[in-house]
Amino acid sequence: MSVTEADIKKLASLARIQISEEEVKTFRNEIDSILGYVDQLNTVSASVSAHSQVVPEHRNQVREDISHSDTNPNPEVLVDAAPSSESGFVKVKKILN
Amino acid sequence: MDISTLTIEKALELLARGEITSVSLVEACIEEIKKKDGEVHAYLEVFTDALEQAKIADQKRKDGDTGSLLGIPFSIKDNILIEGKRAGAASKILENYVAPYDATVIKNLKKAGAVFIGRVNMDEFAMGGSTENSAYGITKNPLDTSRVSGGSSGGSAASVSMHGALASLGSDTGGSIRQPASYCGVVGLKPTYGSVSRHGLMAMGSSLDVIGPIAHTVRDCEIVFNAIKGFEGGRDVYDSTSLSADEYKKVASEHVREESRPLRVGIVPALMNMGGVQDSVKKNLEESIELLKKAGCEIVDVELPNIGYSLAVYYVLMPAEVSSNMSRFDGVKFGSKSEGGDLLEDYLKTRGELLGKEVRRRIMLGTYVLSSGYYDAYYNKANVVRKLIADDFKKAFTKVDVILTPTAPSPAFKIGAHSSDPLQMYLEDVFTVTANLVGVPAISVPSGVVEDEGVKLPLGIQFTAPHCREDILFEVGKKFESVRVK
Repeated sequence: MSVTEADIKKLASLARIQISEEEVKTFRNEIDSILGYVDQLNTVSASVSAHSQVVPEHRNQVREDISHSDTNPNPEVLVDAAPSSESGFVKVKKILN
Repeated sequence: MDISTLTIEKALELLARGEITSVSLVEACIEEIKKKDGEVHAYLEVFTDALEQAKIADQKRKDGDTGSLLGIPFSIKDNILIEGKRAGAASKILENYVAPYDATVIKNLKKAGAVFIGRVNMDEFAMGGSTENSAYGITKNPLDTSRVSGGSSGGSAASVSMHGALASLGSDTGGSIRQPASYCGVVGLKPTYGSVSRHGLMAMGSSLDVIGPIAHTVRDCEIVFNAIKGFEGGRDVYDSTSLSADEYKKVASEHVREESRPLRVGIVPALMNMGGVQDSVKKNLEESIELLKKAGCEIVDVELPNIGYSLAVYYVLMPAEVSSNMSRFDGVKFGSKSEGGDLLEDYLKTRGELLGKEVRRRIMLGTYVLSSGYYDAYYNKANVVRKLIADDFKKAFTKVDVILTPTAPSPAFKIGAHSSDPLQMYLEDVFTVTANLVGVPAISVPSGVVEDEGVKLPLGIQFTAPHCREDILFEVGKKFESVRVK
């Protein structure tokens, strides 16, 4: 098995997901079996270097920096969708001590 | 009115002649929902204003409005935003979320006069192939309620199949429109990537996602597709990957389909030898090939040398994109929240407790393949192979107009059959993911039934066409419908 329980805990922490000890075990088995399956990509002809880059077909599109307030929802509606807000701002717990 | 024999095409005729009203259509759908949905559970919510919308549509018709879908009842997948309505992607993390704006497809449907009956169930955030991953319970197959409806657009397919709506919008990232359509005996179209705006669709894999219709006939899917594609004034400013009408035409012109010669249907013999494809599915494909010959199509063998890697490529790229897209659900900006002691604990608890197991699994898998040290081996490699697969298709389409495969390796499976083995569930996507990786359009059309335990289960075949050639899918799909054994 290539993925360890420590790896799973690290991934969960990077992804900001709390998981139980029991889930660490099941996720480890499942993720390991999925990675085992996708490892077949390494059998694709040797001429394909893992480092060769593919230029994506879709390029980033920029648009004029103009307000679409006529068609966009009112900012208050968006702020109201937050679990916690105050005076038109999204509210979070104190970050710096 | 017998709603069970109605299509959009037929309903529009009857509406135009004044023989039925939108109100009567909506009432008939609601009647079916009352009869069947207690068991099937396709709908998460039937909108209280559905009849009101229908009344408005009827009045508009009286006033001379001729919208292309005026008065036609739709169900909408729970990950597509309708202003002022709940939308939750069947996830606890979006409990109580109300859509602040209309998705572009909804704007287009409203313009065409469609009526929204309600929002329908799905795998949480469209992650799954059976609608068993919904936080609000399973959607059962209306044709055999011991089986799944497919997924992730299982609610969409089931709602149409049980006549609780004339059509539905679903989303397709790896087969999520076509596979449930196949399981429920209806038609499902995954359009060309970019032909339909993704604005207002909750993102899963942004380089793969597309919105499309599920309906009873190929013609109905065509009518809906024509209504939802396209945007005012070129591309949709809110979806930078959308195609303008001119771009669509230009891309379409790259494939030459001479009307004077028979339609060339490509088949991939090597595909059928892959493990896991049921004999009944193979037999049905053989029969479908014979029917297409009878309909005047020419059958040509084609090779897609790298197609066997599609699923592996998909299960690297899709989780990678999922892990990025899902980072917005953190209990801060919208939806619900699980309180912790500090901000970090808020994140950990919200995402740990309110996201389902499959969603968390995919986020972690994506985090893994994108992490330093593994990025080249997985993400980069998968992108390279994705390009190889796209090149294979390009080459194949110089010989044929369309490629035929089954939609899924089996008919609808029993509820719970794959729930303990995610990899087995992923293998259900083997025929469908390629169209998403390549960006080409594909359609699933019912192709007969297989009898299992005394129940007739529908099967579907899938046609895949070159970019922006939905017209070829509609042509071959209608041909097939005309010769198909009913």
